[in-house]
Amino acid sequence: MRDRDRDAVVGDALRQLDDVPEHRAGFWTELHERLVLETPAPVPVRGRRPGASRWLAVAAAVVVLAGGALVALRAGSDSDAGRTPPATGPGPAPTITMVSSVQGVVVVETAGQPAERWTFALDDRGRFAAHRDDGTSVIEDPAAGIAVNTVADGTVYRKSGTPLGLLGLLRRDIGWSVAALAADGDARVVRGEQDGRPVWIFDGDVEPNKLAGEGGVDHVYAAVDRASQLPLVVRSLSRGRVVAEQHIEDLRIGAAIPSGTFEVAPGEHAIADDQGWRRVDPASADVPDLDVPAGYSLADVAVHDAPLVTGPEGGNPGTGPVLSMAYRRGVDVLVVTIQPSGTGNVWDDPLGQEGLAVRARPFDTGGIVRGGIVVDPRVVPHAWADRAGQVVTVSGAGTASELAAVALSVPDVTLVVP
Amino acid sequence: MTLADPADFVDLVRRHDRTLRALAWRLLGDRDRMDDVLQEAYVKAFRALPTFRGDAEAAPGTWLYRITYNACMDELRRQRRVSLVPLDDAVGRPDPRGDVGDRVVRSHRLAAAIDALPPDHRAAVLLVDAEGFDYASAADALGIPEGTVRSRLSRARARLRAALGEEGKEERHA
Repeated sequence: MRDRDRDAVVGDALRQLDDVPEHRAGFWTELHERLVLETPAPVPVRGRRPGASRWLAVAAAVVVLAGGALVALRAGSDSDAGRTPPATGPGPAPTITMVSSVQGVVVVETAGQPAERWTFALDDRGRFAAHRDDGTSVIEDPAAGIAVNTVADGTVYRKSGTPLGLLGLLRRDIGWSVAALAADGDARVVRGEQDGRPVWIFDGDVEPNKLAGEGGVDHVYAAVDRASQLPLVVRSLSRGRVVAEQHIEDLRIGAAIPSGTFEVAPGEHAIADDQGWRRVDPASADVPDLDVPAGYSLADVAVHDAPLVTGPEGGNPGTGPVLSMAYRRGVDVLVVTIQPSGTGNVWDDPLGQEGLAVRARPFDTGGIVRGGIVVDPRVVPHAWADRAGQVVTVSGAGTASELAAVALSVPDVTLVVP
Repeated sequence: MTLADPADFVDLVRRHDRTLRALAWRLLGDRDRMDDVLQEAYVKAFRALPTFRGDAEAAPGTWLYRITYNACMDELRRQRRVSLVPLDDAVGRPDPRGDVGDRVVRSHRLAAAIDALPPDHRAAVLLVDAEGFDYASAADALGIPEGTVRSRLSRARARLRAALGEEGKEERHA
């Protein structure tokens, strides 16, 4: 047989090979859904602002007392398609799914407690609403700095001046962490399917929180929707026993949210609580030009004028004011905080949680920057740095390298609080 | 039909999906990765429509092939999981299916031989020998000069001939 004939035979044989697998279930539906999300009207680009040379400073994740419980407020939130990919930079812009909204039902089950079913909606402005059949509801509006909780007996708790990056019921910190671990090729994360949707699955042991004693969570299973980065299933185990589980049913991505969903009833007898973050118009705020990932744009700016308590045991020096900026990319969010470090102070991770030991990677800067990058399923992905007289935190939906890049892009300038 | 409509674009992609899926499968060798890369490639193509509408309408297969090929190569570079099996080992691997028919055995050996080629050589063989692209179209799809297509094909075919030499002898005696 001549070479040319044999090549033709090989070509025929190649065409007849039948080992090419079909697509996974839902492939075409998922593709169509993603293409639909690509078609909405463009969002004004506001992200990076050239020439911003003066701005403010400070702040990061904060630990506050809420209802007697120590709550770690971590920067990071929901966000949206703001900024288009930068015009410069190496290689093509990464493909990013801009999810404009998510809706569904989140079911929360805790050992010994009846299951709670919350119908929820989240949009690309970070607005979040959830309600239960018994009348309990939660509505958050980060642009307005308002969070309103209504409990079953009709009592309304109205918080104003809320920090950017409230995490809410959806456990998005876990979703972002698992996605970031997947981007790093972490062996504990594998591909899978959940309810016909492609997911990342994290299934691994974690170091228990020392404050929880022997009953602490030592294993986490999470199935994270890859389009929205929402955790469809989160299962927390202690010594082989499930102690808490939540899952999302009827997830809808990109669907129109009914009008009125985020409206807050006035509530004559509301219990008010001002948390001290004043909003600044992002269009006029002279904020620094940061190297945020492609697709993100500046959405909200807030300032806390008084010093804040931060650090795993609240041991960081209280400095202020604190500048906080939320960048959104669809429902994804990155929250950046900046505050003065103060002379001679030694800082620990401002987003660290008491009793929780997490591994922080150092910056790839030869040790000249104090701080670290934390990607762990128990905390929101974040980077923090103490450099040039400022402490910076970056938290939310981003890979380790993206978070680090943002933190290191904060310019060394005199801070002027908006 | 307007390609800017997601449904129409999906229809277009589905018409070429068998070829693109084969390319992604042969280059990546893993169904999940194949699906992931194809999703990204198709979304990227949709996003690039305003810039490449001429290519998309004139030769959609070539255009989609180029985007898919680049996406696969990016994935291989990013994951750095390209572990090439020496050709001799690949074709000498015992067939796990035992006494199945000769045709199946040959297919298995051919697939193994293809898998053992470097990804860029594999793509050239798939395009020209399996899909029937001419050299110019293949060069366009792969983003390389026509001469490079020829040289890659030449080397790839030589390795395939060597790997499948036994079959040729069998056929000669048949």
